[in-house]
Amino acid sequence: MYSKDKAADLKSNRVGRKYALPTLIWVLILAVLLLFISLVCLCLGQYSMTMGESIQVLFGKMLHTQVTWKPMMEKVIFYLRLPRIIAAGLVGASLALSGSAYQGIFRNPLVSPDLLGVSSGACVGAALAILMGLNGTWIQQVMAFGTGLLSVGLTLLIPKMLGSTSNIMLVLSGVIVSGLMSSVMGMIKYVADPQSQLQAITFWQMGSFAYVKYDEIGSVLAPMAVGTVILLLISWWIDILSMGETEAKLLGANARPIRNVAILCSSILTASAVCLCGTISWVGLVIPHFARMLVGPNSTKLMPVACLLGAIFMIVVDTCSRNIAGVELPVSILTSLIGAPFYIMLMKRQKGELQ
Amino acid sequence: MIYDVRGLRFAYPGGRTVIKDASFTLDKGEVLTILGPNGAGKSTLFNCLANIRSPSSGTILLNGKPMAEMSVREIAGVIGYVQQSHIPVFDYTVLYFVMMGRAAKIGVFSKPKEEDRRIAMQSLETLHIAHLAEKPYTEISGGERQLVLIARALTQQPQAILLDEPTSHLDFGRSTYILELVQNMSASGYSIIMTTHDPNHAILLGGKAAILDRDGVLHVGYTRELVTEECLRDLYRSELHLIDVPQLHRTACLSAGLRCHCHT
Repeated sequence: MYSKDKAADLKSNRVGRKYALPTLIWVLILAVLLLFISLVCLCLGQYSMTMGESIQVLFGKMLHTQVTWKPMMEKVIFYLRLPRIIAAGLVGASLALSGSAYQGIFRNPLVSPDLLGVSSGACVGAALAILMGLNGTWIQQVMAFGTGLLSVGLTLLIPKMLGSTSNIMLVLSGVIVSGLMSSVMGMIKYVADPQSQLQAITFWQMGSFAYVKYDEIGSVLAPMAVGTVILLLISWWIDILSMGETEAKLLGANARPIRNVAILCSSILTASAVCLCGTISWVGLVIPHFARMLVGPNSTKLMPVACLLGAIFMIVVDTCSRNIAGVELPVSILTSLIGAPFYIMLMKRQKGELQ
Repeated sequence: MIYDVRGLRFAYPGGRTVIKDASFTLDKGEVLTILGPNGAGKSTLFNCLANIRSPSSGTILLNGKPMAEMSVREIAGVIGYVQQSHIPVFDYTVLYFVMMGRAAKIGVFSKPKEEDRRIAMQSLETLHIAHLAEKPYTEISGGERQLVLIARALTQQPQAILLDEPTSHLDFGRSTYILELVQNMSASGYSIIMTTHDPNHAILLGGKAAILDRDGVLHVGYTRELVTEECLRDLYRSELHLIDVPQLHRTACLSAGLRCHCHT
């Protein structure tokens, strides 16, 4: 008995030292890293330039100094690369944050933000817009966002109609709605014009930042900000929810309303991300794990770190996607290629803890 | 009066009535031990008292107020619940876990403050487990986990503490230690309701006992008068003896011995 306790002691001492740096330091390091990586990625591409040149163009333009650079540089930075980097950062942060929230709410580290069907729903909306010849318009964005939230609403409604509100019912209902949405998707693809529309739909399903424009970023900025701020504010309560609904209630938490607000905010974040660049897999699943390794499981610490890590990861992956091959690769192909082995590595580290 | 339970009845929807009629009162600092055979509905009764289940009829008054009309926050301010230990998915530290006991006192857009941390630390010190504070809750022993759960209930600063079989999965020495803690908590003014499988726990704690028989009727009285040899034999359908142990100045419940059930 006591020797067993001693073994537990030794083990937990080891774990106690695992988080070498305080969270605030991590946030600062990652914020600096994010800026640095953004600048590096601004220079990389078919038209490559030095760090000095890109900084000169970036700040020169903002501060209205005399133009000493080639007009081509300005075009490349402001119309091609900067919007992509901003969009990738926002999407990465949103997906990582909603993934962290979902993993807490559903008490399962293997859950990703599309669990309740938001991504597949948003895809249907976007594909419908393509079918109606509205590809690349604001209507497509609105439709993707709307159908994304609508499918989460449907997922929440099914258990309610059946008179049960347990998390398992909710997850199963998510499976049903996702399945339903992919069959609708199949139908849309079947009737789509293979010459033009089908390719656009496939591109959307795989995710890409290639055609992101400033006004699109502007239109998702507000919902993203609202979702992020609310989730960060209720982060401690998400940890309470991770104790399970009954226990949360016994501790004095209004478990159901808090859970629904957290699901709503996460869904808004994911839907915003999807309508900006299509579906991108793995980020919401893997990044929260990585953040947990750095600062531990407390959502109050985990969430800001996951946001920054997600942004960095997405910017790097997107830069790779436009530089690795001669042609533009869909981002999801790369996130899966990087995410899957990375996830195996994480599972290896945590195999003792996951039963 | 902390608890005033009147005519509590519980039936599963379309199923059998588990609790026919339960009424009792519990004052500040009193201990109530709930005994009953497996499957009699002990846990159901306990869950009704903790507001996990709602009784089919009857009322539970907390400080004179019907529990059904109170918010979860209000209830958590009166009742601290110590459940059977379980391992959460994420490896929160013991201190962080115990701080969750402050939930009922913290605003929705807020996080625990220094004051909450201090109260949580104090509960750990009260139970002499302050050294566990920074360890992951998932990696301490079962006995330590039970103490941490009690510390979390104390952090709630409730008036009553409910313990669901706090000694299950614990060795002999640790079980006795938990019972001592329960006694100390009652001496410092907490009302205690506890379920147990071992009639000796009820005898050791004294105070009140509640026995839920196989017909769903709850008998409540002082342990000394209620927990008799006949009553226990009837309850557990086993040949039990209540024996005076002069060296310890108390009675102990022992089984007569083992009978062979094989007929070969």
